[in-house]
Amino acid sequence: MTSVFLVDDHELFLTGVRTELQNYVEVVGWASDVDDAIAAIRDLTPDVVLVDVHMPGGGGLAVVKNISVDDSDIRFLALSVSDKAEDVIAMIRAGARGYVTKSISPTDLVDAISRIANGDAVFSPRLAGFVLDAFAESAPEISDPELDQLTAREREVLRQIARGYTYKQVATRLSISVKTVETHVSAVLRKLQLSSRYELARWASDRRIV
Amino acid sequence: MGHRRRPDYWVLPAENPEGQGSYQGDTSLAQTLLRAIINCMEPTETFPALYRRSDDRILSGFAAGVAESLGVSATYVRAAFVVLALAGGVGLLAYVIGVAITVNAVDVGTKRSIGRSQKLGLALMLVAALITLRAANLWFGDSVVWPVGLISFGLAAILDKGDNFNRLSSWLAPGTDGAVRPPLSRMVVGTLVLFAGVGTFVVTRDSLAPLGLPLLAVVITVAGLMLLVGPWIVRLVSALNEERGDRIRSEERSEVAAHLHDSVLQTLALIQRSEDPNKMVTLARAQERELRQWLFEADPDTDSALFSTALQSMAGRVERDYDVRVELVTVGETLISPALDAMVRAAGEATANAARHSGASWVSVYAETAEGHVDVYISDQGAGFDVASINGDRHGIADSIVGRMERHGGRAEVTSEMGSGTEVHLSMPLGSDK
Repeated sequence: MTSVFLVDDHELFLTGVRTELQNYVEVVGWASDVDDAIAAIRDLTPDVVLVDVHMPGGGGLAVVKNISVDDSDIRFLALSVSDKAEDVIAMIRAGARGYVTKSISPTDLVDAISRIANGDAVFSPRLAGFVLDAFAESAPEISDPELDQLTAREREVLRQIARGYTYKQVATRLSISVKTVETHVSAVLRKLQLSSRYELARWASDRRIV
Repeated sequence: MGHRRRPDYWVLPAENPEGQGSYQGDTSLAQTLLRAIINCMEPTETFPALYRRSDDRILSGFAAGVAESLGVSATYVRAAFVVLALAGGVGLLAYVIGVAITVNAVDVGTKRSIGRSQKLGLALMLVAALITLRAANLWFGDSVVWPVGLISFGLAAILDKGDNFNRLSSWLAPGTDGAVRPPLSRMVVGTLVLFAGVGTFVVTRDSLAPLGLPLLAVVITVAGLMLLVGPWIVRLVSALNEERGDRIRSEERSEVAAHLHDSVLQTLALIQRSEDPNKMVTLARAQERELRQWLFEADPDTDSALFSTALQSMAGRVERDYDVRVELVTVGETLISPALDAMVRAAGEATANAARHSGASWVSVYAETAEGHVDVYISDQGAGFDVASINGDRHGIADSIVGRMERHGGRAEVTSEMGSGTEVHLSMPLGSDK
């Protein structure tokens, strides 16, 4: 069973998620502030950490940055009420493998956790939209085509995800395997994390919310 | 910070026992080197401790510190430094050294005041020092030092404690801020000294000589008035700006309060009164959407011209009317046009159809602006229907969606499969109408 650690400063939400998840994953612990979280995660080494973005003391960003520096086996899924582009892009670039909003249904959340545990990326429709927007064709300077541009296929996969289709549906619609969809999404995640594309940062800060 | 007692011995940062309080320790090499010298100089009643006044400063607060230990107004000390700076840079050097060997402090001592004869003595010492420096050839020229000296001290007399613009404005505009009026005699003397300085300066300029006496008089008067009123005008303008800033901030605050009251508080009240969980969810969701929009959107007036904003309010309307979640994702942005307005209406119709007939709990709307055209996909994963059986005769799809798009040069395509949902694809070339 996947071991999961929860980080959220809203006790009520923490309790709710714990109850929702208890039959599907093993919740090994939870914390409601940054320092506790970092200490406990290092101690427990869970498979997946569900982390809230906005918390006192540096927020989820501090947790992700702190852990993913020296322990890349612990995977992060950002879970937040905020769907501001700056937050989303910052979390992903810090090392989170996915970003979902708190309105996600329990089954979708369980699905997302198992994907993250398998090393795949989890893109909500909104995140897919952000990526398409940030990697829009009209970039004046592309320093590294490998990292700074999406392939036509990746773009198509993201469009389908942005239209609300699951990975499985995307696979059927594009006549490819689910594994291929996952590969494309993981490649996009890598570009998102590593691209030095100037547009990305500027775009995210220009843009307030969708 | 209240008044603190002046320490009765020299305290440098490293020796400050409390490590806090009036000294904001900034040790420098110069300080360390000079500690020995300073420690030899026991402060006495006549020459009390020297420090920089961090609460009353133009540059470092050193002049204010000197002023306080001398018992005169800081403005005069500043004037003296200005004049001495022109005496071969001696004032500048003294200032730099002074800054290096002193520490920051906030209002350390009790106010000390010296008598008129002592002030006169200090003034004479300054003049003596200037004459000595002149004799020693540390001098930038008579035509510079003397006029600047007169101007500095004239201004100092008028403005006095540096910050006392209220005093001046109390003369220029009586009744301002209940300021204490300085004695008229000092104002008159200060103004005379100031004009004498300006006059000397102008008259000794050879380049201005051809202008003739009347014109010189005008130049002197204008320059004198500018020096006199300039600082006051600057302060007045910044005070006005500050006041306007305060007013804007308080207006913003009350606008926020009013908005929260009209929206969030009302909704919370409704939720408390509601007994139907579905109704509560709908209310909460609608409020969330509205609040997000209000918090994160730029000015709604300017934003209303954007395609994404139009889609957003469309999505909000459908959510409210049909009790389903509408997941809207937009990529790219464009200004709304009549054609795009029609497209938003068509999308609204398609979204409402999905909400009404599909039975799905959410509808996805994806809009992309790229490469000269705008595409909107409205998809649900609900019941689906047989497109062939109803296409063409169902008013909603034929007229409100397909017809509307085609009239504006776009097109609409409906695909649906029984049991796995419906997708409506709208496409509009950009610039198809103006």
